[in-house]
Amino acid sequence: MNEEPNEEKTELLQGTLDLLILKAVTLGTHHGLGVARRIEQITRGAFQVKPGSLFPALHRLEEHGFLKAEWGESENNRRAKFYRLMPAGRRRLEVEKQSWERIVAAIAHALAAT
Amino acid sequence: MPLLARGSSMMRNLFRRERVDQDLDEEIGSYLAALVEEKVAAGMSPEAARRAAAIEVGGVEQVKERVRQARAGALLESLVQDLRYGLRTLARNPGFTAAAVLTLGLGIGANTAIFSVVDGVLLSPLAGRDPDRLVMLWEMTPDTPQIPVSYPNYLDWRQRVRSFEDIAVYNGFDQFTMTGEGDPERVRGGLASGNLFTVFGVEPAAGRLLDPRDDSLDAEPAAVIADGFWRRRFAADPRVVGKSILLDGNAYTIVGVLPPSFRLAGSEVWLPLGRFTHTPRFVRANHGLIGIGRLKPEVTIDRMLADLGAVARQLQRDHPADNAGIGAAGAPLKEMMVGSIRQPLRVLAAAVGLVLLVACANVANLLLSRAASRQHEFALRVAIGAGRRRVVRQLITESLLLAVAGGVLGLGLAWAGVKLLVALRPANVPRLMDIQVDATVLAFALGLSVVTGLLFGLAPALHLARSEPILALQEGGRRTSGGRARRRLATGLTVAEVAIALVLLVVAGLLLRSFARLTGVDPGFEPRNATAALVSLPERDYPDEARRRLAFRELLWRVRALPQMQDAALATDLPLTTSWQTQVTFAGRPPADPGSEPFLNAVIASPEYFRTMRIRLLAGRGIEPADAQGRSRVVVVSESVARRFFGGRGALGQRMKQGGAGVENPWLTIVGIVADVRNDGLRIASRGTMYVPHEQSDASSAWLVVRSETPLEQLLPLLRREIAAFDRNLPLANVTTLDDALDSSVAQERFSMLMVGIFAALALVLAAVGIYGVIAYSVAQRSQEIGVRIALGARRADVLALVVGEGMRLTLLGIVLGAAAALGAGRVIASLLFEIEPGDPAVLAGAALLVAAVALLAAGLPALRAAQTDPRAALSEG
Repeated sequence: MNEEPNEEKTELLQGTLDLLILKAVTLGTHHGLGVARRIEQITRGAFQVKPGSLFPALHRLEEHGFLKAEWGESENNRRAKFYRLMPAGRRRLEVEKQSWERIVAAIAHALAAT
Repeated sequence: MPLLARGSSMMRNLFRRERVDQDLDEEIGSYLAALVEEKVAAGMSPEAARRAAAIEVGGVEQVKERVRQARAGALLESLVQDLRYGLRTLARNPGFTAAAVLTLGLGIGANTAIFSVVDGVLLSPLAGRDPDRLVMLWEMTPDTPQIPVSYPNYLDWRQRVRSFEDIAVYNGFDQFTMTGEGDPERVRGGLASGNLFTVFGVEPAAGRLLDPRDDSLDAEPAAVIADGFWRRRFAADPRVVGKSILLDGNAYTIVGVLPPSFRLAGSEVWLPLGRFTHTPRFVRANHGLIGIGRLKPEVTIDRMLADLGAVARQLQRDHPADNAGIGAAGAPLKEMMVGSIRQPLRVLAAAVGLVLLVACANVANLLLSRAASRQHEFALRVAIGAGRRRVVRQLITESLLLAVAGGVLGLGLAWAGVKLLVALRPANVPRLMDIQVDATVLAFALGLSVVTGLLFGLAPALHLARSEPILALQEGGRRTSGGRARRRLATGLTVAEVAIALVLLVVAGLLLRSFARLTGVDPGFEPRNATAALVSLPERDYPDEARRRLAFRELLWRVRALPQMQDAALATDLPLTTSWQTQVTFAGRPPADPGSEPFLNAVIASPEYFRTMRIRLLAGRGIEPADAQGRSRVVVVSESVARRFFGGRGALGQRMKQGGAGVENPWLTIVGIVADVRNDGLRIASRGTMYVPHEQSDASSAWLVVRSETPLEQLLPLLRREIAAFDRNLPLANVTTLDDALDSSVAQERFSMLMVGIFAALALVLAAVGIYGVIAYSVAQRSQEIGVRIALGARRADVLALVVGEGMRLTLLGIVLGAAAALGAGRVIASLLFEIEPGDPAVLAGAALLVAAVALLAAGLPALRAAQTDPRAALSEG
């Protein structure tokens, strides 16, 4: 458990968190904790999302129509709310991904320029 | 449908905050539980796992608050975007925007105007405290469901009936001659029991109102004046309290002024009833008062009726001579005031609601045809990541913007419309002056706009969102895959418009024919060139019968001497507004049981009355000058009396008298039979009338009826001069031509007919615009096909028939559907109709033909344009 050193890094830019959440649900539906764990997994533990930022982001994305929430049964037969990526969300992810790549490339270029 | 599910999630978020909260609680709870499970699986003790999980989640309330903010933020952010975008879009299409806003403005305006009438007349409370507990009370006989209350019976009710906090009585139909300052004037006066204003719970605008002490003859004579009279006669002078006025020569002190909201029986002055109750007018056998009771809390109308009925039966036993067969009943006061107008207003409200539906369908059609050109735009927005829900929301935002703009315009139209309505003063609409555009009406208009916006915006929005963006983009935005679905939707909307327009036309047609039937009824007299005015002799100046008879004789003689006069006569009641009814007994034909004697209208008339009114004499003779005092007493009866009681034969020479069999009244010999007159309004067949000679009766007031070719404005000064020459203090009151009187007796029917007619015309025009739009659009879509047809040798007539045929097919469908609905609507309004069946085939056929003709015109214009298509241009375009 490398919780302590990463505490600072969990403060994410909103846009980045949205991007990560959309990415986390591309391969299937997840409930809240599942989304957090999936992000941890795909960022190799670099980002740990706390409920205080996770739930607002999930609900905001749902509000925009990028995610769809449905009540279902978890692996332990517990009632949980599952989030599924909607077509609009998939397109959004594509757009965000491209702009992220442009930013990364631009920043990298800028840093290399000095 | 996922789209609808998403829409409902938005609604849940907006309107059902509590459920969203619960949902969120559950979600966080399940997150917490999953976290604990995870930690336990990793080897923690359940206790430690719970603690660690709780710390990790932090404050649940904080999380919830942040979620709420995020949701609201997302919503608000997109709303502001949508609004800005919507406004820009609408501003870019001024033609479309103007057409839509105008259509909606008309629909919402008409609805708001009618709502303000309904609100003012039916929904607003009456003046006074707790008006819902006020009940109007009356008495009845086996023959007549409603007769006024006799004063002694009222006193007994007050003592014995337990259902009321208190009961009051009044008589609002007296008239007094006010003399002193200025011209003598007839004022409408009311006699009120001292507790009347307390029972109503009304507060004085100035001074005090009458109280039971004023009923005593020892008290200083007090009068209370109505607001209108105070303004008219006293210029709203606040020092009027304490002033003395002369009514019929008696002095009264004005003790107070009523508030403007309190209007009862049109009385301008209210006097204490107690000052008059010693006169024979208020003995038990005389019925002349209206009762007003205030129910105790929790007492229902049914319980009150049982209570009152029981007391009425006691009174029958206690006073068998006067009260045989006399019962008592009552109904909520508001019911009595607006009961007759409720159904017509409901029909108006329904009709105007249908107009709004047609307007909505039309705007939806406009939006649909515009959606065609916007499909590309929206496909692009969806492609770059806008959720479809966002697109739908965007479209609905635009619709709501249109609707609110239409609502603002409608409110303006309604405001003007209500001014106009009140100025038109449809008679027989009670409480008309209470109508105004107020906060309730404002809220109604706003709510209506929002509902309207959703109604016409939803279908096109859903339609657009459902179409496939990829296809739309591939087709380059020119011809779109949604074309067929859209045309189906547009056609469906137009069919509905046609059907609704037909329903309204049928209703309007039924009301029109019914009105024609009603005004075509023979009233039994000739209203043209006849004028009536009320002359009342004050008791102080004309204290006895002989003097009154002499005065009327002289008056009549002077008036008839005018060269402009063809005929002149006196009568105590005019047709259509009969107020005097009396029980009668026929000699040798005792009633089945005491108290069941029939009631007839009774008129005291001078010899020339039948000739002046042009009432036909059917048998025997009319009233003649020889029928004077000391001669044998005679009576002339109307046809229905002869038919009802003598089988149409042998009435002449029979004897009858006023009152029940036991009452000591002189016998009258029937000497003539005249045609029936519609005494209780045109709708109601006459119950039968008896006419007794003026010279053999006593009347202190009578209508002077004159027949002359001279216009009223020239005639009136002549009449006034003759009367003044006889007695300077005699006013002429209630001057009216009989044409006007007949007219105003059908004013409410005319009002309903006119309004529904206007709404039907509006709906028809809107439907025609709808047909035109659909056909014109279809012609534009098919211009290539039409070009090919023409190129291949189709004649212009063929093209014309093709296009018009398309329009007429949907019109025919609308007519069929509308006709079915109209049959139902006809049954709903059956109670408003007079001698016409709700399914009248002529009306149905006429309306259908009118719709078809207008549709032909609407489809014909685009068809003519299509027939002019230049095949080369049409083909090269593709």
